Amino acid sequence: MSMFPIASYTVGAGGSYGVDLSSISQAYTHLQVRIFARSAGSIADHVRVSPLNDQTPTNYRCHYLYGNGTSALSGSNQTTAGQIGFLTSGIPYSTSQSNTFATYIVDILDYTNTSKYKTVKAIGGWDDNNVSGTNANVSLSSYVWMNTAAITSVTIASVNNPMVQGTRIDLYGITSSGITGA
Amino acid sequence: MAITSLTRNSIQNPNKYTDLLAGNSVYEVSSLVPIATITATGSQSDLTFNNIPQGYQDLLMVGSLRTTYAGATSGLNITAYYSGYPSTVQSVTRLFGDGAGAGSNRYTTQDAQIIGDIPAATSTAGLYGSLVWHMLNYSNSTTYKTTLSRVACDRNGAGTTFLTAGLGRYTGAITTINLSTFSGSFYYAAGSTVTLYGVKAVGQ
Repeated sequence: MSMFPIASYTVGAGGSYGVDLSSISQAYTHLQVRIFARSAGSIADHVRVSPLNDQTPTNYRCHYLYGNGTSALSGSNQTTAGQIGFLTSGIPYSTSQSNTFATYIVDILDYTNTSKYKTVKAIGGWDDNNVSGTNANVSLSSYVWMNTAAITSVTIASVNNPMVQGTRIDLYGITSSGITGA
Repeated sequence: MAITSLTRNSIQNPNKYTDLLAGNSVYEVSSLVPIATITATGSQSDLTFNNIPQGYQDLLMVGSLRTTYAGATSGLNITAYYSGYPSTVQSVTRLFGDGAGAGSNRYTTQDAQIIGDIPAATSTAGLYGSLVWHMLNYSNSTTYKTTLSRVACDRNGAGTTFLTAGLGRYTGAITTINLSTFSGSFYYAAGSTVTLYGVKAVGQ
């Protein structure tokens, strides 16, 4: 696997909801989004990765498995207006252990393929030495985007409140091999 | 004269150009760069990466591991740290499944992150557990260190898979990573390997 950086965004002192990344190169086979995030708000929050060329909530579906330090739980949801895209399972917020950020790695496979619906997988989470109790969790998730369009631009942003300084979002392109067959 | 062969070593500054044409092309080098590999000798209770270079953005570690503990499995403990770092500041939240059910637990205020189990002496010979471990922002001096790891330990009729988020409550840049058995009486089995990679940032 060869992985190449495409774009990076770091939240500054004023905080920010995130970033719109446009004109994503179509030269790669897969995309990887690497997220290091914390919310400035006082309620639980998530980071969403949303292809900008589809704002239809019912086109996104997720199944997830997560552990909160006490129980393993699973669920499924379809996005709603205002939460469109592939949502991570949660990031630390103001009452969590200070200086603590969640890490998520989101893989978008075959993002340029116009014959396939897009399948996305993510792992990630955070621990804060039990300060947040069961709000801190680690998860693995799968998503589908019921649209065959190539992904050319995405929004990567928090849902409820701005993210704090130190939050970082990186987009990488992953190439495949030109070698075919045995 | 036609060019019939060309090697990377024959090019001055090979990281700079994608083609041999005069112009403005820039050669793209993969952002995933191997730093070091450790192969266990069979007499080491710790596998340690020292003097980790600070020139990358993130770290990735991939391993194939087994111990000589006199049982079916033993715990895999990882500590990423720097000289003078505080003790008992490691914690983890784990998600795991063993084929019969799924569960989650947590370890707090530890000296190492206890991230999963790997095969040990009484497991079938040739079985090694697999490890993928991430740390983003390892050289950042203002944030605590979050890790994300997967450990797979399938033993053909038994086994457990783990997904773990870990926290090191310190802000110093990471210079050392230690994989410990927490024992002087058993070791990482010969054939165990672990490789550390650096992940470059945009513009590096």
